[in-house]
Amino acid sequence: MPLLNVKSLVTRLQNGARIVDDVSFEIQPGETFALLGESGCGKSMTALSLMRLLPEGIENTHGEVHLDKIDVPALAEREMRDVRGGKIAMIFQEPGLSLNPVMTVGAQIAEVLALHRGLKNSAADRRAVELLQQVGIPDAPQRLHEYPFQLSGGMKQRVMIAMALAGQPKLLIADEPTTALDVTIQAQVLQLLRDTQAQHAMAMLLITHDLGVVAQMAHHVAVMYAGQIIEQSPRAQLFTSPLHPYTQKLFAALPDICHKGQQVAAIPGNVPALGEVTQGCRFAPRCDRAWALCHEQVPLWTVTGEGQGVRCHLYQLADGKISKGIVQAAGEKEVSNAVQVTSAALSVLKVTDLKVHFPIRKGLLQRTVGHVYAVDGLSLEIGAGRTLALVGESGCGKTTVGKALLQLIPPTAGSVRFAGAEMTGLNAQQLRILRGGMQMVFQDPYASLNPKMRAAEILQEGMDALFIGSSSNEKQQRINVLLDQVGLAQGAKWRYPHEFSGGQRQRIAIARALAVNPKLLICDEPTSALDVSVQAQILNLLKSLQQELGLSYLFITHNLAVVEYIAHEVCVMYLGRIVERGNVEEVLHNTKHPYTRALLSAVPRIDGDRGGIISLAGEMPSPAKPPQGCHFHPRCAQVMDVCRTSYPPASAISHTQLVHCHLYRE
Amino acid sequence: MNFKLVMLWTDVMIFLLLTVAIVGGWWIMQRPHLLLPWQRLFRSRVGMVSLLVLSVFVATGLLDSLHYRVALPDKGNGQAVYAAEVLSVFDTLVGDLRSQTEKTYSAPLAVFLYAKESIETPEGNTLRDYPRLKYGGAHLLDPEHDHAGDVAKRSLVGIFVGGFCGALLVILIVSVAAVRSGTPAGVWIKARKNSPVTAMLVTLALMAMLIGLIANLSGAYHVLGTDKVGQDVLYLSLKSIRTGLVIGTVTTLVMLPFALFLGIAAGYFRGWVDDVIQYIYTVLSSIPGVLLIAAAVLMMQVTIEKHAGWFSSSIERADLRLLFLCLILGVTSWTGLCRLLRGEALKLRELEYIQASQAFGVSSLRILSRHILPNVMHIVLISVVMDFSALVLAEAVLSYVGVGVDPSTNSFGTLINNARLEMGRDPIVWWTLASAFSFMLVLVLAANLFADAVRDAFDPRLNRTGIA
Repeated sequence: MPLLNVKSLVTRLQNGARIVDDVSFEIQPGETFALLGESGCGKSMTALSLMRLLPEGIENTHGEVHLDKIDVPALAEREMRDVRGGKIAMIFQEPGLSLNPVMTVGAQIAEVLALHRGLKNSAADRRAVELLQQVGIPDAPQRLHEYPFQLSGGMKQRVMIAMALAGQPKLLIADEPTTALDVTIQAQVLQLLRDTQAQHAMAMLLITHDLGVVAQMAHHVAVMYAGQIIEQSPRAQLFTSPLHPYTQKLFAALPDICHKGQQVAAIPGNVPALGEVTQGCRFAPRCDRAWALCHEQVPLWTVTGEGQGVRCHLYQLADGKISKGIVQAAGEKEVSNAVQVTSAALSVLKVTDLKVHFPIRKGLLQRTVGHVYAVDGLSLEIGAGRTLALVGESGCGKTTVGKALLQLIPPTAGSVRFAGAEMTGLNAQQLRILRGGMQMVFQDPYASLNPKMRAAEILQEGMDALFIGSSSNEKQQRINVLLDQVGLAQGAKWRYPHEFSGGQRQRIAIARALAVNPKLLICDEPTSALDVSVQAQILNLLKSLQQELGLSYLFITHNLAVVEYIAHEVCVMYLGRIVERGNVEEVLHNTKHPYTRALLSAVPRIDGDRGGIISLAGEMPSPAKPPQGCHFHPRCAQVMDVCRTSYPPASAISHTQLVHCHLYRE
Repeated sequence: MNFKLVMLWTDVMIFLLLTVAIVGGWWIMQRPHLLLPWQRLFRSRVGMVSLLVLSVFVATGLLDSLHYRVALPDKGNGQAVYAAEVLSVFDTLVGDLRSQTEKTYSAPLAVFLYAKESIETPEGNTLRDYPRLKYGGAHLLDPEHDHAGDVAKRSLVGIFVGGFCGALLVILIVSVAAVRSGTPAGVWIKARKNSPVTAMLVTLALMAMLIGLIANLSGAYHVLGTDKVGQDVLYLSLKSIRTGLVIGTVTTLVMLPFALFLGIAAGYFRGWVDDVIQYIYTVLSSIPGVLLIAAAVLMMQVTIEKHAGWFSSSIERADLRLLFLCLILGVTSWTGLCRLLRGEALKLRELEYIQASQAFGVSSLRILSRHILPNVMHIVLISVVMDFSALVLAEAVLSYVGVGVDPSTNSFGTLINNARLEMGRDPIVWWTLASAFSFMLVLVLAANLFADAVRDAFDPRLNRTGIA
């Protein structure tokens, strides 16, 4: 008897476009059911339809939802209030936005307790403390009277989980519960979700775009694409033999060490806009196995095994003809590393002892009372045609490094030598001469293009500022070449940013940087705002541009899988300092520093191997008050006495690998 | 040539604004991304109906801004001499409304004066009674008996003729649109059942009826009565529209450069530039506004009186005073928008496209003009439209206090100021205040509704994705 039974759920916009189209699934008690899909495929709308919390202008028009024999769509709004929180609870993506900033944590939990459990006053307080302890919050009685701003991101998500548990729901809907968190915190929260689920025998609907999270958490997985569930199967089966071409490509598009030196199999094109594909299979325009039928007829749901089904014409032929193992090695192109190795000796950028300290000012006279040590003595070197990855969690100062290199933030101390010329301490005029050599690609493709300028104007801006190309004809020629290089049609020239998808925007941003012939591109998390399938396209583009133009990259990221794919060397940053550096193989496979090891183990792997997660206690300390001695010692499992008193100097593991840890001192 | 064009300073400003609006409109038409919010605005029913009402006011104001002086009859010495009185096209259009002044107060549509007077009868006796008006209802032979019937008849005829003209106009518009789109008129109108077009056509017809009614009645009566010196209140109210519009729009023109430049400069540069600008507007907005304006207006008044020779006519003097009032209001009212723009620029400067341009070494002035300015324009537009009604109301308050426009300028403020004492009379003279009130109410309400529609259409924070 399933706990939740959803049958042909349809949710649509007022203009008729179907956001959720004929979605059916079942969730058993105590089971984790994952909805996997890229942004805009209707995962969240499915969850909101179940809760009957759809935003204005979107309505649920069709479908049955049975929760524990309750017919949810038939309930009156007043009865529905008991279901929300009492039977189904929900936790959201952004913990910072889902807690009320003017209410104490205790009051917010007590609200749920009063509503669904009838607990008041001291009874509610006692229960709230229990709940907070359950979700692993230390000093729970004190925390009860604190406000959300006093808690860190991971703590807030724990409080959210405690609130969700307060109503003792039968079903927990977790909408991207860890997307806004760092890997090490994500590992903690996922562990907590697994534990609480096991304790309470609660069912969970997990909504995510992250295959790694699915592999760790789910019992059953449904893959959504453009509003439809296109494949559904138990986790193990999905990961060993995905059926739908989209699922197969999704796995192939994940960058990984095994793809090193090859192109990742990117899925061409973009997720179709709502109501765009009205005829045939929605994936057909991007599918390389599509044939005429796919464009004409919507494929039916085909059950292929126990609890397993797929919506694809490939499997609809006849029962016996289900072909296995059609995972194909798509577009594997060998990349020669020869050029890069020879040029490795030539250094493009040399940074020594870079420091960026932000003063903390207080009081009437704005006296400096302390500093935020955002970057504190960082040195690195990038060779021509090489990629250096700078890895770290949010708040470790990696973005500040990028901006300080470009002199967008004036460094406090240290030297930045670009192609032999010192960049620090120059005035705007002198700096402009060097500007063209180093450019930046930003994280958010939606914020990095001026919405009021057309693509050609965006590309031309840098050329105008740095006097590249004399006549306007020459500039237009160059813009055409650039668009071609980043794989955009020339018709894109006179269009505005809002007419492009996220991936296309990122291509324009790359073209903008290339317009001034840079030698070094600083890429600040260029793919973290993109979907997996589009991320692969951009990574491939960056790789091929590197070969064509001999570019060097400083690749700032928190995503270790991308690092494995794209980088030659890696620097791991913690609290403004580099703790470990070396070639990518050395750092990722002969890991020395305990922090790097924890970071690597916390990344959810798609083989679902949960073995040996080194869970880090707590969160990164504030860069305004770095701990005495080794910055990492409060969270380190192998901490020694010496770690508490002195910062470890560099220890050479090989002639390329360096680590700052007392464990390796001779 | 039997007239001479007179360009008052505020006329220049108004036509400058009109040109800017037309050029801006043409410029926006070329750019689809700028056109988008306007198209959203054109789909709003309330917005479009209020725009239609506003445009009637604007048309009146524009007609009243074309000034000229009539040539006097040639005295034979070959030199053209022009009358001292400056008239506007509007004055000519309303014809006798301006010149037909009674002796003193008379109620709306009245036939008799509002006060008893000694009248000499043909028999030589002196009688104390309400005398007949010189113009209002002068054609009636037996006013006691015919008055009500005549008013009703004229109203009906007015409504009918106005309605007929309105209907003709509506039919003309619909058929032209239908022919251009190549569909029968019935189909064309049915397809737009829920669009603002239908609502606008209905409003158009209703307004035509109202105008017909008033026009027909005012030919024989003082529709809204007369004031203390016998001037027609309808005429005064209509003349006040221009003053209100000038205050509402020219002030904005004065205020914008301050608010725009200082606001985005403060937000973008931060540091000491920000500190200085913030101090300036904090200080300015801490001074009581009325006090500051009163001081400036009084100083200006003295200057103008000292240099009477600067002006060739009294209307020019009054006009300069109006212009200065706009300047003073503009200088004191830029702080609000400036603060808003500073906040927006603070947010924008952290955006990645600004940093990308900084990485190219693009100059600050260019970043301000190419990146920040276009991205704050929606805020400017919204606040300009919303400020309009506040300024119209502010003028009324200032004129009432006595520091507003010149007493000889017709404005809602002076009307209300004059009505102040009339309210204390017994029997009460209510119509001056009532007409000023209702004209201002309609104008400000239409402006506010339009401002709301503009805000809805331009506000990027209103999430309209999906609800296409």
